[in-house]
Amino acid sequence: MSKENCDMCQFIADHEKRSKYLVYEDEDIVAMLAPKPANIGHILIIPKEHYPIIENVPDPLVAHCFFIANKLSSAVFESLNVHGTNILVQNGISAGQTSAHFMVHVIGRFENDGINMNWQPKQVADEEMNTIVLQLSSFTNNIGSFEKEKEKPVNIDDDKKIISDEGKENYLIKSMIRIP
Amino acid sequence: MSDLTPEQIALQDKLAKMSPEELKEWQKQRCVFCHIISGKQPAKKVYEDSKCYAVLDINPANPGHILLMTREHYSIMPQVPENELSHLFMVAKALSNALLKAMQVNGTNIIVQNGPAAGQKSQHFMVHIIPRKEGDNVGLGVPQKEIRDTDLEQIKTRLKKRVNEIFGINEDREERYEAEGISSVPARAQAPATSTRMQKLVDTELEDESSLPEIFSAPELPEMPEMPVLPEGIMPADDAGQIDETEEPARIIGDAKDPDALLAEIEAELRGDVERLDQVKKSAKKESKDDDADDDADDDVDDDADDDVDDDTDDDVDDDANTKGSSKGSKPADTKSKSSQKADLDKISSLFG
Repeated sequence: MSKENCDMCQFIADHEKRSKYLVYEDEDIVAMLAPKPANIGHILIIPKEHYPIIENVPDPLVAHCFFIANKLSSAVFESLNVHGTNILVQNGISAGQTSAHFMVHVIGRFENDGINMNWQPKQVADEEMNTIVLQLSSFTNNIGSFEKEKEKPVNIDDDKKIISDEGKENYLIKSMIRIP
Repeated sequence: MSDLTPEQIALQDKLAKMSPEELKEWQKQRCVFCHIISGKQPAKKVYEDSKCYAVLDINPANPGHILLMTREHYSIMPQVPENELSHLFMVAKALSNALLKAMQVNGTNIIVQNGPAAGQKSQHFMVHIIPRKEGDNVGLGVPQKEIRDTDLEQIKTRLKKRVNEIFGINEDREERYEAEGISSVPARAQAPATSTRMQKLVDTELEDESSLPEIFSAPELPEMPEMPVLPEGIMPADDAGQIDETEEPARIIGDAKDPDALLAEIEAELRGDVERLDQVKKSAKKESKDDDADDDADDDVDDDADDDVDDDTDDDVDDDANTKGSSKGSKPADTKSKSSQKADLDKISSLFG
């Protein structure tokens, strides 16, 4: 699914529709309440750029999404009096991904609320575990440096309108007044 | 659990009296995962680096279930410093990628459990990375329920209020900027960590006895107690060094002074070099007076004064330029004084490296 077909991209772009759900926005991501929540305090953190799965998302954006998830999880915990929160990424249809747009879920939890975030442990033989470790090692050796954030070009000719903040003076100007 | 054994009561008392550092040490000694990381307990290690450690879960949801944890002992997510957290999730992304390739599965789940109600079983903060296949019968389900608009509205206002406090967003100011046509969307924000309540919940291991709200069937949401507002200016030790960017920078009215001259002036003052300061000021004055109509008289006056002062300084270039300027007349004087001013600034900037 490309960006034009993606219903999540269109939903984010539609400021009127999304204002009903919007909780936080910054230049890279949008955080909104889920239209069909699993529980009280179900928030979706959605990057404005279109990426289908987490592997496509640049590293700094991944870090930023989870940073925001951490803060919103605290906010949910403190304002909605939940007993706990889950932060969840569904990567792939078999993992439960419903929309082809990468997002991070923050879900408020209560005791015995019926949502199952636990699993039945499976018995895995020792031999099989060792094989898995070997299989993974060839791929984990490459994990090392992460992408750095690209520097944004500074617009020198930007003719922004300037408003003074009430009561605050530019400290540079202030220091100029001191010089005899 | 209302009926606790005497030992458990004694333990609760002991925990309640401990300071946070003592509590952390106590948890660390009993933490299985800290033992794994330090090597006292065997485990199937998958990846390690200076900040994190990944092992295979011995009670996996699926074969290949990875537990990715921080090297340091943190019991809940808000405690983890921002740089470690960012690093952890970038590694989680890479491990998810590795699982997809190595295990030939077609999906992964990345899960964080905050609090016992969310399924947190250990006191050591970790991220679960679970490989998924079609029909693998893992119980993880995120249901999709309907919610009434009124409930949604209520939740949204409560939540937004707290979020704005955390990020330092001022709604009224934002509206004003929107009206002026300036985008009020903030750049990536940073904010201090909070949540002592969650810490207590996890530390004391008590079950919360408050009754559960009936979410989607009750006519309105149950009364929630007022949350205490976090006092301003508290920066916990874990966040030492983080810059609080909650305030917007002050903006200037009208024309700013020439930034180069301003910078040169400030640098000169900091170095305590009064002579250079005079020179810079005079060159700045020259520049501003060049803009006026009556340049000739001013130039002559300035040049004379400069001749007297500059004899004692080591700035020979200045002297030559000034004398040349006064002898040659008005228009050449303009250009000469400008070039002398430039020479001033160049020399000063080169001195400062």
